[in-house]
Amino acid sequence: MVQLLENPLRVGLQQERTPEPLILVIFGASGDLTARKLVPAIYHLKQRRRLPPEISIVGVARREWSHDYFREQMREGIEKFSDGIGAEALWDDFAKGLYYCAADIDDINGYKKLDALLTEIDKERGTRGNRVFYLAVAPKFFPEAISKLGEAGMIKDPNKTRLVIEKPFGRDLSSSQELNQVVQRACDERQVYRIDHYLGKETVQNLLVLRFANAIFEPLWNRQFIDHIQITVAETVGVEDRAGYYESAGALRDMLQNHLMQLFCLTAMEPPNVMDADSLRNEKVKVIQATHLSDRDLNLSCVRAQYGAGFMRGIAAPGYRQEPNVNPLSTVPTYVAMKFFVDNWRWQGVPFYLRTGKRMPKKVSEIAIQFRNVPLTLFQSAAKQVSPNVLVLRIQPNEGIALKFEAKMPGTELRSRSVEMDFGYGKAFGVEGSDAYDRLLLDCMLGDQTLFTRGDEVEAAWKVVTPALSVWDSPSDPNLIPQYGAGTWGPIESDLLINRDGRQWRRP
Amino acid sequence: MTQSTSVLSLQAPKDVSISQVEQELSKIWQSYGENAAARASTFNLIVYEPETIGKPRMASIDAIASQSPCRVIDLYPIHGEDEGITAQVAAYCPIQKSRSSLVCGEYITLQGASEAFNRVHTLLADLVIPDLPVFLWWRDSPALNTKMFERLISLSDRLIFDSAVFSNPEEDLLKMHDMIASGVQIADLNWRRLAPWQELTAQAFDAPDRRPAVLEIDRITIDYERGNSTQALMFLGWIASRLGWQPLTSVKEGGDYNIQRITFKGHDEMKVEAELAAIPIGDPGEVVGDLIGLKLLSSNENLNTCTILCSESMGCMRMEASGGAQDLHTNQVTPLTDQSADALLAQQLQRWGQEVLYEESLAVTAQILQLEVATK
Repeated sequence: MVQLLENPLRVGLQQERTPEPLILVIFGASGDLTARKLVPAIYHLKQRRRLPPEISIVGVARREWSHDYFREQMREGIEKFSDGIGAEALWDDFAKGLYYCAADIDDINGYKKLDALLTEIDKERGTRGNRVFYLAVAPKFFPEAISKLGEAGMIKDPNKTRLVIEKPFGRDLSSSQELNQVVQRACDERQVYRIDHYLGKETVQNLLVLRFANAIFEPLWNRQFIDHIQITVAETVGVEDRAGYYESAGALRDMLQNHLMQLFCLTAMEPPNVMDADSLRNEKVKVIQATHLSDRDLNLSCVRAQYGAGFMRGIAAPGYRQEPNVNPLSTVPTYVAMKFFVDNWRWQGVPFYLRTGKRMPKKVSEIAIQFRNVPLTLFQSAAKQVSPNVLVLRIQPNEGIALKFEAKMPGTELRSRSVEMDFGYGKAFGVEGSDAYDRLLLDCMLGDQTLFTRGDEVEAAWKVVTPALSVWDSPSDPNLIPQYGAGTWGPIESDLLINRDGRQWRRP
Repeated sequence: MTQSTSVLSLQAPKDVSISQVEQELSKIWQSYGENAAARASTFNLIVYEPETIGKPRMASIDAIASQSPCRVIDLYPIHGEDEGITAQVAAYCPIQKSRSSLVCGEYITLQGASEAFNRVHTLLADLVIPDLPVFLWWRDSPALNTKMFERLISLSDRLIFDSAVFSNPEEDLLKMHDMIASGVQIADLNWRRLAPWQELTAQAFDAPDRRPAVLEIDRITIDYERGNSTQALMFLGWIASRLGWQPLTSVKEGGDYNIQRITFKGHDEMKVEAELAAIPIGDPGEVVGDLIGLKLLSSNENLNTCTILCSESMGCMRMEASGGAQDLHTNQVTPLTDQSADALLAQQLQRWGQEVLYEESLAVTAQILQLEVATK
């Protein structure tokens, strides 16, 4: 592969703010996320000179590690999962700011010990009492950790302390409400950063830019011109080693309620008054509140399914129920498709089809906006079919935007053919976008909540899928769960969901 | 209470003696009570505003207060006899739509003859809130070797200048470089004005097919508004530091455009020529010395290097007139945000710590300025 030269004029060039000196405290520091994602992301920001020199990280976990051992582990993580250490001097400088504190998440004494360490670091490194507490622990520990941080008085200052919570935010409406209550007792909503890393992706943010920085799309972005919208997030992987978690979650909780709902919100919401956290999140909440499954009869508005045995790129792949640690009679869906309507002036009558699944033929995430057909066909299509305009926003891979439209075929006859105008991120900018965690961690350190989910938004998203959840969570006959072969685009029931409306799923 | 667009003043500024400053501020807070207006400070900002600035005083309150609550100590030396220092205190509160109560900062103004300030400069330390960082915004040329300046620097964590107001730009830039070398943390608001130019210059070479051309640039022309050369020199220092150019010679040709030519040793021993031209402008606006045009060329005609950036106000005519317009990559530099010192200060107050890119660029600018200058 040819390596692209770096643009030397980009080095060190920054338009953005740098955060104030602070300590990032990571609970669950001995876990995978810390070494694989969080610390490499912070180091990457440091390499790009986006952080102040005082920045410090304190890892917290049960294991009895020393500061030096923690530093070694983090170095290994950066070397293994990121672009490497680079200049040794930079690493040495970064490593000086890494600390470790062994503590039990449910023991208040551990928090007191941590607080003392943080005060000491404030003095040593000039971090001025600014803290970000990152809960990279299993969701069952969220309430305990948040309560104890509150009890220890460590998140009482809303201007200096922040709390980051990884998804999932609850497992249904009532548990998300309970978690939000715990959060509200311990701190202010403005201190809380609920991470859905999908929102950190460049192309997801570009959706906002596409809609609200261009004058040509917004006039068409409504029921007058749009026939329907399809949002697809397809994975090629199966459940892999996550069966323990996945058996209690499934595709609806793992993907649709959060990632796909975020894509849906950004596609369907009204323009915010200003691009700040509350304005944007208010619009997201408004559109979710106007959203509902297209029909109370779940058979007509949603489909769940599991992958059965099949082939992935010619290699035999087991079915979900044959995967290690999966209940052979499991009814947990690995595929979900839903049809929503939005009851507002912009979208009345426009269906939104959302689908996500594992073991699909391609790894692809995209939003396809299909426009209405021309009112009268004047030109004969070479393919002898109606070819509506489609605007496709590719989230991954090949991040970009494509517009399908009709053009005249060369020749003496007036025949049309579909062609694509294609914008590719890589081609236009020559650089890959930053990692989602880089962006989100930086935003959190800067105190910008725009790309984080607010408590009421989480609850509203759970509400939308509650009719399906309440039925699917109750015991059902495993034989009634539709199956699709690994390496296919989902079950026949899913095709019926959309074909019934005279439409069909795109083949991305 | 008086109200501006985004800042509320709790009461009209009140005259007090220096020794009563703290006491008077406490009275303001007591009269409002915690629920109506909370006193808060996240940093100290000392502003040195010589009378020569001529702008309305307190003009920056919006910019400062709307960012973060802080204690501002505004020093206002005036011409005239030493009649001591007069002090005023006030409290200002940024209005935030998300809050019902006000979070307010304090504003202390000290006015007197320069001699009076020299006498009382030691008292300033008592007016600073301890344990909070101190920014010093020095709205003048660096006054090295003066008691006041030295004392204020020793009080501050970070020094902010606007080199657009420097009276001897080249000499003053060298002073800034020397201060950085001696460990003073410096920010220059005028450096921030270069951001759109830097961004568009970098953008011109983002596309993969143009990427190799950036290393082949061997001619650069920079036009700037006559009156202050700091932006032009810092931009040249920036691009030279990014592309690894080493300054070799400097010639001042003078003429209508006060042309200065600098040569560098570039990539692979390549000779690089730079031309700085001071263009006379009828009305340069609030800031003197803004960049108005930039042209990058390569003598390697096989590469698609030619890039022109020009300010919206002046257009691209002079840059395009010298030929080679066929394959030009042309762009107009239109800053979206206001480039006034107030707006830039508001951004600067959110930045902490060392600015490596600025320091590296200024180091090369200093090398250029230290070259023996020939004249034609």
